[in-house]
Amino acid sequence: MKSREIKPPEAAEDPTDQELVARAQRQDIAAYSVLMQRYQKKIYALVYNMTSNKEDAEDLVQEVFYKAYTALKRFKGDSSFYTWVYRIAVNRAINYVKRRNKRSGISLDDMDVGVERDPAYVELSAKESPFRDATLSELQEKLNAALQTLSEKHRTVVVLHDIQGIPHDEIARMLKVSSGTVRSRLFYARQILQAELAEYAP
Amino acid sequence: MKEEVVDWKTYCLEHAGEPLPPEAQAVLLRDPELKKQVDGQLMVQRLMALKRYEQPHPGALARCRSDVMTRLENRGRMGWLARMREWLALDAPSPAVAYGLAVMVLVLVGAGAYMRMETSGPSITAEVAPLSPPDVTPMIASTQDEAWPAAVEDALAAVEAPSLDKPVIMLRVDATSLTPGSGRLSFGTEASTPVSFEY
Repeated sequence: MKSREIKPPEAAEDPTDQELVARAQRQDIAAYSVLMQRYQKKIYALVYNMTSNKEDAEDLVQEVFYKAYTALKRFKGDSSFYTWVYRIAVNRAINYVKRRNKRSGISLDDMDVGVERDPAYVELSAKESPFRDATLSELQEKLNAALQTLSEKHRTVVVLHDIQGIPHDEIARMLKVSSGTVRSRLFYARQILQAELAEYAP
Repeated sequence: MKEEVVDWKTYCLEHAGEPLPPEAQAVLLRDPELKKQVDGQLMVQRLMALKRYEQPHPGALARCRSDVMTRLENRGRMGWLARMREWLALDAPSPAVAYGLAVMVLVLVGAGAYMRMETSGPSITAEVAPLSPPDVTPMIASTQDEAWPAAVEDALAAVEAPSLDKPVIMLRVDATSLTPGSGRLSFGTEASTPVSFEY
């Protein structure tokens, strides 16, 4: 069965990813820099949401792209470069979260003001609830703290599905579990999150 | 054939927000509590989706990319030890793999040492310093195999008392001839190189 590709965040421009990968495989660092520029933001979002710590996220993004370059010779092009590097990032983020020292706390990125135009945000703000009075940073802090209460395997599915929008089947392939397992982890994780965010999501 | 029993309640919860088959829809309509739970799942999903609006500091990604490029440029100049260290740091082998690697390294080192011993043995030719330093008393006793312990004892007895505060090194070498007073042994048809020791 052919693996479904994760859609890259933006349309590939000239030169194509394949051309850049081929050049990078011949030690062309400039070509690799272009690849990194294309997908760095999405990879950052993934690892940031897994760690809820922007310093850790920056270190991890560095590590992911450095590691990917060192492994690029083994990349055969069975999937897109983006899918390949995304999987590396997921695995590294999971390993990192497993090993992480407890001292690593939450440090938040800025929230784009676009959130205030998000239909979900507008709807929740209109309701008579603590959500309406919460500032963006309070909301952000709550969401991140709630996410950090989850175990690494439950957090992973929430980040991949609810935040990153990856389909269940693709998550299942990435994590090497069944689609049913992904769904059941997601259900369980959301139950915990609902309890943590009871005032916002009654 | 046994028909598969579907737990529609669990199905509804695990497929919250997705199109449901008619059977699941019927269960959902009949069970307000289930409907509430499904809505709760959807609400959490929508709340979590708001995290997509979190953005890194504008300079963070550029700095990160620049750091990666610098590391990649420096990579070409790394020695094997630095690469090994990097491999350990990047790939962080599991304890089992690390243990296996450690055992393998020990085995290889041991095998290397054994091979060296095997290939050296009596044929090793020691590089020699100019003959013995003045405070070392070389003594060479020529003896037959069966008599060598007695010859050693005789040689020790002949050592002057002040020399006994120094280590006594005894070597038994199979030589075919000995030139008395020369410190030279001969093996086969060729003369050996005189040997001295530093301690």
